Amino acid sequence: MLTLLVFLPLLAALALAFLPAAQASAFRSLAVIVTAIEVVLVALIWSSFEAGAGIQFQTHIEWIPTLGVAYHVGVDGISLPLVAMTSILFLASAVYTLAHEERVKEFVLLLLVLETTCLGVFVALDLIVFYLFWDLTLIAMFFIIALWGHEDRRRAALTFLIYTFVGSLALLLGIIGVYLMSEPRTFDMVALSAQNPLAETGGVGALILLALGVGFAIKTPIFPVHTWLPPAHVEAPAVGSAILAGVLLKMGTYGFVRIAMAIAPEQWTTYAMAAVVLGVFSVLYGALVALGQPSLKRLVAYTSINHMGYVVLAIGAAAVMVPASVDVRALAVTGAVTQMVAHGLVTGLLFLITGMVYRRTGTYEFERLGGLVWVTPWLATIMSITAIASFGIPGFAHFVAELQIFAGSIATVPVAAILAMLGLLITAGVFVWTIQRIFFGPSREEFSDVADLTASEAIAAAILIAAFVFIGVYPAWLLDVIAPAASNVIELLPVGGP
Amino acid sequence: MIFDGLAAIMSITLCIIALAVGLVAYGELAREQGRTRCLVFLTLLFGASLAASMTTSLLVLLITWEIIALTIWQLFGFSWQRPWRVRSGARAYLFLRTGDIGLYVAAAVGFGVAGTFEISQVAAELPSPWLEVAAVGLIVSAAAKSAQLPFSLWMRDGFGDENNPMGHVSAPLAASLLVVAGGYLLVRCYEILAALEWALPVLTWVGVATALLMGLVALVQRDLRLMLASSSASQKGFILMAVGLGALPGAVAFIVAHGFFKALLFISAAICQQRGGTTKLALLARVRPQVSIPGFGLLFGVGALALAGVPPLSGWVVKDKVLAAALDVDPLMYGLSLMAAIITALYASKMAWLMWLPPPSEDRDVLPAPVEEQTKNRLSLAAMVVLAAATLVMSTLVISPVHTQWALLVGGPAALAPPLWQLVLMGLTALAALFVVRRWHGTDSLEPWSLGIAPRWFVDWLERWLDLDRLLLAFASVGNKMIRTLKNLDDRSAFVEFGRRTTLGVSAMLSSLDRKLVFDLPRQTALATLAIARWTTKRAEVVVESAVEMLTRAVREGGHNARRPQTGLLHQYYAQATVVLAMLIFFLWLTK
Repeated sequence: MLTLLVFLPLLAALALAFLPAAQASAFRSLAVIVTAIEVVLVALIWSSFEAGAGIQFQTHIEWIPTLGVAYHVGVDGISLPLVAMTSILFLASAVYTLAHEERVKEFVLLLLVLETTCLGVFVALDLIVFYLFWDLTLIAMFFIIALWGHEDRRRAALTFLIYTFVGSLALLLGIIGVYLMSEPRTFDMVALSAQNPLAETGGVGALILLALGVGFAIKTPIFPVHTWLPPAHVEAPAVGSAILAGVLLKMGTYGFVRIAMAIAPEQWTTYAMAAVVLGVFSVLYGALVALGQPSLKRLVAYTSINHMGYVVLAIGAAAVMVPASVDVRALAVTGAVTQMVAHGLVTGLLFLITGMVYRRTGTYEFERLGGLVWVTPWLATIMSITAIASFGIPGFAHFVAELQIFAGSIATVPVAAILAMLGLLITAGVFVWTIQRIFFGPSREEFSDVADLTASEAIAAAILIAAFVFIGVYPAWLLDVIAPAASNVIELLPVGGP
Repeated sequence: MIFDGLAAIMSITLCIIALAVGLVAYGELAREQGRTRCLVFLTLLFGASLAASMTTSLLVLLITWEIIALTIWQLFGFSWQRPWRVRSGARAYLFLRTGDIGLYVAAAVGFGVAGTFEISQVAAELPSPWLEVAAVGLIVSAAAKSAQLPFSLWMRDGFGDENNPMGHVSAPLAASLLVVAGGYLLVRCYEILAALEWALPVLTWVGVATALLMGLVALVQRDLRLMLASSSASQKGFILMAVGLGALPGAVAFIVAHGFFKALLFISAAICQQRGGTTKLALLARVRPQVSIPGFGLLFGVGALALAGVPPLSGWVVKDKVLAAALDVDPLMYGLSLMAAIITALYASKMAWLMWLPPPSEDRDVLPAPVEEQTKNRLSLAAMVVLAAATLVMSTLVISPVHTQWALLVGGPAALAPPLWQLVLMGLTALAALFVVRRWHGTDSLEPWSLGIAPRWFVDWLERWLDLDRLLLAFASVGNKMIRTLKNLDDRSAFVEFGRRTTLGVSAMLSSLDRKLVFDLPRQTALATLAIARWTTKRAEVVVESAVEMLTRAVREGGHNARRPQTGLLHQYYAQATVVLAMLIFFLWLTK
């Protein structure tokens, strides 16, 4: 089932490769159909998923037995929500692509390949398979930015590729380190997490965690290794940005939870405070820098750093060596995973919206925007909804996530948690001001013949809004799946608790 | 969600006010004036306030208050066509959001440490340092939401001032609902604050200070809506004071009574604005005939006199309860709150007389009353009658058994029976104020309060809302660019401007740092790599190449040399074999 889910888009892409490129509309609708099937598949998996029963839907096939590498996939309460979020975001992106003009065939093929690799990262239970999908994602994204981006796309794509590839190398180093420390040697994540291979390895273990941490931190991204993100976002096409922010960034934080925390729990606990500090710094830094941005897309990119900072704060706070109950720690991790899902949906849509704004006005610069609500009231409406969702208003997914993060981390790292709350105030200012600058004010001559939302844009937005409103209004449905898995992760940590 | 006595009182109050507000919004606004949008957000505000009034959970309070803040952003910044309005809506929102952060802290501490959002459990179970953190969060939150000093500024943002165009009537309508919600938060969280020694006195003093200063501010405003806005902040000061003194029944009575008559006044202001086009106090008498609602002046008067505390109206009764509590604690506190009450009586009388008395002689020719639709009049009239009636009903609290019942319903510490002399004193003071103001008005000056009684600069300072923006600025920039600060003080929005500038400056700095330094680092690395590569090609490559060449040459020569022993002469082979053998033996001997 999972294998089908992962490889269906790839197979579809291979099949579509034989169709003539001239039939652009066929490609668009097939992309929508395939991604919709993916969502249905995820729904089927979700419906028969048993919360709290560990890793399910496993497939284990020997691949390179001499090295202990196997094609091992499965989902648990942490990866399933991310898989679901990914499939929904790809569906919305495919719907949005219905209005895409240039080189539709290539774009659709790349999008489908990217979906396979993204899903692969989240379901992989073998470090080598994980790494494989991780790197393939980079390559697919590189082409999306380099071929469909804006003016300075080549440079941005190259920066993105090189920067994140350095992260991949660090990650690979860490993976090999973990492999060498394991006994019997294996790349299997489940076996490794049972083995705890880095226990009592002292400095070596710390170096391995450092290598893994650098790899994940670049991807997340955490200050100060985030500088690849803004140019990549600014130059990427809207769908590319949406996937980049929505899915690719999650790989970093997912890696922290799935690999750093679960396979190196001792080291993670020792250095958790570093994650807390970097997390809070990213929260405040991202929010402040976002406030200073002159361009809509850069602004959204920096709010991503802010939002991902909360995740890093939470997974650090969950492991800090101070007296705190297991429940509180699990709450922080649950909040972190919820935040990943929320950010994927909300920021994914924010980037699609920047694309809609660009399509109409040809610019991201605030100086040249303004008064759009006169001509595009619906665009203003969805932007407002998404923006208030993004700064954590109740009824939307981010509130659920952030409340859990704060409640889960205030007992272990009170100062950091309270400082991070100030981030909420700044981001509120950021988005309120953004809406003001783009939409409000007197109407402008140059935008007088701009049209409001097209059907495909409206549907893409509706899909994502429905998803994050649903999580915001009825979070139990999601939290019941995440919470037991979060507790499992916490139980691996060598932190005591009443 | 629970429904106890307090929730019952608050929800009934909110429903009555919401009914009136809804009637006015529906009746007074034309479709193209954004009636639908206004009603949508008012309903949302009403719903959130209602939910807030029926909960004992910090989580629900947080959620509802976030929604309230959001609707205030929309309702205060209603006219999106005007950048100025939008900005003040956003500013009010950020003030309220600051309060939300306080509530966020309290809720997160409650759940993170005590494992519960329930207020009573949080108060009972939270260990020491955490309880203080939660209390600070709650106090900040209540002060921000009730527009207490130093957060009072946002109440002004919905209403504009003489330099700026008037806002939409959505702002006074929203304010009618909002005045009830703020103080209520404190009554609910009383348990948490009461668990600490210092929290309640802090609350009391913040309340007294706001009641006094914002009362003075109200006294010198030239616009009815601005007077009402500052008055609301001032009256909420009384509520904070009552909660701080532990007089919960009195506080709740104050919230409810004030809610009714202030809503009545806000609605009147909205009607004046909508029909007369202005709410300038000096023009009120000219606007009144244009309103053309029968009994408008009388109904407005009920609200204004109740606010003034003229017996037997509700303002007199409830203010008396609060003052009695102050008298019981501290004579100084009593003196200050009595002063605040007198100030209230003065400005309330001012608005009443300015509404009632005929306009100054030169303006006698009143504009003809525009023909209004009957339904509009009926709806607005009904709204005002409902609120006036509610105000009168609240006056019955002066009767002792009614008050006992009320105190039972609210719960909390036993209510004090106010001494009779205090009640009489209050009533006489209010009447005296009413009389004095009438006399002053007789001098035919429209702003008698600023003439001769207080120095000009003081009145100006009050009129600018205590320069709150500048005051905060001073706090924020202690020892930092003092000279520039003073120069900027000219700007009325200096603080907000400063905050914005500083933040933007820091952001711009960080962002340029981000772009230049941090981004450049990897780029420089890449460039360095390229440079090394180039250098390698030019220099190192030559060396390496020559090394390789030398190696090949050596190998070639070695090959030549290797051929030399093969002379073909047998005796030479034997000699070579002997030498090799000898060396072998020598090495074997060495290694042995």
